[in-house]
Amino acid sequence: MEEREAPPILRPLAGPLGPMLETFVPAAKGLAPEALDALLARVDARLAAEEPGLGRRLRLFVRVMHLFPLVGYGRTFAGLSAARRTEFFARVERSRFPLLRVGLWGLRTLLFLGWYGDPEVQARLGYRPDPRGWEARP
Amino acid sequence: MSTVVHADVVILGSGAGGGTVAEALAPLAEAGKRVLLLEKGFRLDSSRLPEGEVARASLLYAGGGARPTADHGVTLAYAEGVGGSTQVYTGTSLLPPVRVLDRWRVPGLDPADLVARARRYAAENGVDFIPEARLNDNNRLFRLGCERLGWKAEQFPVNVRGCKGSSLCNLGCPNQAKQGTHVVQIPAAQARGVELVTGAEAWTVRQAPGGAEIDVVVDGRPHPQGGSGEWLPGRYTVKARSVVAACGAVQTPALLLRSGLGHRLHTLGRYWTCHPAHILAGLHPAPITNFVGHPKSFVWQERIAEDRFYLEACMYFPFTTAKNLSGFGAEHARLLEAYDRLQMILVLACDEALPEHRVEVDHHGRPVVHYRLTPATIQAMVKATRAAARIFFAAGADAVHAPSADPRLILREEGADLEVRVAERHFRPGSVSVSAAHLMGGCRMGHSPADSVTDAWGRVHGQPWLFVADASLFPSALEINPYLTIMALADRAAQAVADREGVSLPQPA
Repeated sequence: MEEREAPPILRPLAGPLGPMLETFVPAAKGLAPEALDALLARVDARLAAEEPGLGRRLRLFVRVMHLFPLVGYGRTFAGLSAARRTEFFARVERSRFPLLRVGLWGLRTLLFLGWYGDPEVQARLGYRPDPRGWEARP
Repeated sequence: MSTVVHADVVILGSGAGGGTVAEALAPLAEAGKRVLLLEKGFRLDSSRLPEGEVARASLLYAGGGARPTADHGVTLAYAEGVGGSTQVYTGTSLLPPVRVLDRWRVPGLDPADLVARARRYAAENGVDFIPEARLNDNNRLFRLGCERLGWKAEQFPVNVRGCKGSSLCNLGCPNQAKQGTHVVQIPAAQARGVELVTGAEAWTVRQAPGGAEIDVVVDGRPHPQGGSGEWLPGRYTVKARSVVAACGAVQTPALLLRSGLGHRLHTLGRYWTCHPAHILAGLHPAPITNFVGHPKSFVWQERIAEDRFYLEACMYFPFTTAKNLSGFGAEHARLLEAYDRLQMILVLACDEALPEHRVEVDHHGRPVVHYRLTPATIQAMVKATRAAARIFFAAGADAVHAPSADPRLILREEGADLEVRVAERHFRPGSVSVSAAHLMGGCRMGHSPADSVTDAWGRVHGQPWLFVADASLFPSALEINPYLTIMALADRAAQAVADREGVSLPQPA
C-alpha cells in the first residue's frame, strides 16, 4: 500500500541508482528493472515521511555521484567497471569532506533498506523470526 | 476556530514518563478531577503489526527509527504511540545509579528517594532475569567471552511476563510480554478514570488565568490499524490547572521552545546527551542462536568510570545490521550472508553534557538536534571497540567487523594487534553508523533558571503550572538504560502535581 502511494523521489533515478546498488550489494547485479523499481518504491515510501528537502538533496547527491567520476576517470559512474565503481565509492567514503561521507552513508543506507529490508531477501539470509520464539524451535 | 476543552491536569506524552504520571495521578481522577493523557501517536496492537522489519519500524518509530541530527552524524531512535519508547525497548530495567545521581547534585533530589520509587515500579512491572535455559547463544557468548577475559558480565533485569523469546522487542513485542507503560500503567490509569486521547499533538503551552492553555492539533490522519482517535480532527484549546510535559528528550524541549520559554530559561534545549552507540559483529565458525530469545541480556560496565563506555549484548534485524556495519560491497555482503553466525555487541559511550549539544526548533517548529561526536566520545568508542573485539575473540569468533579498524575486518590471528588496528584516526564521523536510543537532557533539573529548566520535582522554574516528567530532566548522561529512572522522576513530578491539586499520593516505602 505504501509503495503505491509514495511520491516518486528516487524512482525516477533508477538509471544511475542501479549500478550504485550493485556496488553496495553485489547480489543485486542483474536485478530486473521491475524489481529495482519496487525496491526504490520501498525507499521512497520511507522518504515520504521525511522533510521534502531531504529528497531534493538526495537526488542532487545521486546526480553528483553519477557525474563526478567524469573528472577522474573520464566516464560516468555507470560507465565504470565494477572495480572502479568500488574504488570510487571507497574514496568518497574516506573523503575529507564530511558532507560527501554523510551523503554516501545516507545513500548506502537507503539502498540497504530497499534490499535488506525486503522480507524475501531476509529469508534468503536465513532470518526467519517467529513470534512463538523458542516454542517454534524444534 | 478551536474547540475549548476543560480539564484539571493534562499530561502530554504517554511513554515511560507520561504513562507513569497518568497512573500516579489516577487518584485525582477518582476524586472527580479530569485528568487527560494526550498522545501524538496511536495505540498500536503489537500482535497485529505487519511482519516486515521496515514496515514495523515505520509504524512504531519517529522517522522509522533513524531521525538524523542536524549534521546527520548520528541517527536517533525513539518511538511514537501509546507507551512511547517502552513499546520498543528491550525491557532492561536498572535502578538509578547513585554515583551519577550524586554527580548531578540537584538540590532536593534525594538518591534514596529516587531509588525507592524505581524499586516500586520495578516490582509493578515484574522485573526479573531471563531464565538460564532461555538465554540464546548470542548472550551466552558475550558472557563466556567476558569470563575468559576475567571480566564480569552482569545480567540485565528485564520487565517481561511470559516472554516467549520472539527476539522482536525492538519492533514491539508480538506477545505483549514486555511490561511497558502501554501494558501496565496506562490501562491501570484508564481503569481509574484517566482519559486517553490519541492522535493529539500539543503544539504550544502558555500560562492563562487559572492555570494554562494548550494548543492541540488533531490532524485526523487515519489509524494505521483501523479506527480513529478519540477526538474529531481539528484544533483544540485545552484549559487546565496543571500541565505535565512528558514527550521525551527531543519533543519536550521543542514544545517548551515553541512556547517561547527559551528566553527565560537559557539552558532550555541544552546539555543534551544520548549515549551514542554502534554495533560490532563477530563472525563465528558455526551457526548460533541469535534471532530467537531475548536479544539483550548482559552488560559489561567495569570500565565505565575510567574509559566512559559500556558494552551490551545485542541482536538486530537484517536491515538494521546492514546499516550499522560499516562499508559496502562484497565483504559487507558476506557478513550479512552469514547472519546466523553473527554475534553482536553494542558499544555505548557516556557522552559529556555540553551546552552546544542542544535541541532547537526550525521555522516550522520542528525539533532539530545539534550534536557532534566529540574527540572524548570517539576515544571512548574506540576503546570500547577494542574491548568488544576481545570479547568476540575470547568467545571463539573467527573475525570481527569494527568500524574504527582499518581494514574493518579483523581476523582472529590479528587479534593481538588491536591497539594498532583499532584507532581513533580510522573513526570517520559520517562513515560510521552511530545511533542513539537513550535520549536525555534539554530540560535539566537544577537550582535556578540560571543553571537549569526545572527543580528537583520537575517544576519548570517560574511556571508553577508546568511540569516535566521524562528523560529531558537528566542533567547529564545517566550511564545506564534510563527507563526506571524516568519512571521514578515522573513519579516525583506526579506527586508535585498532586500537591498543587491538593491531593495526597501514597509515598514510597
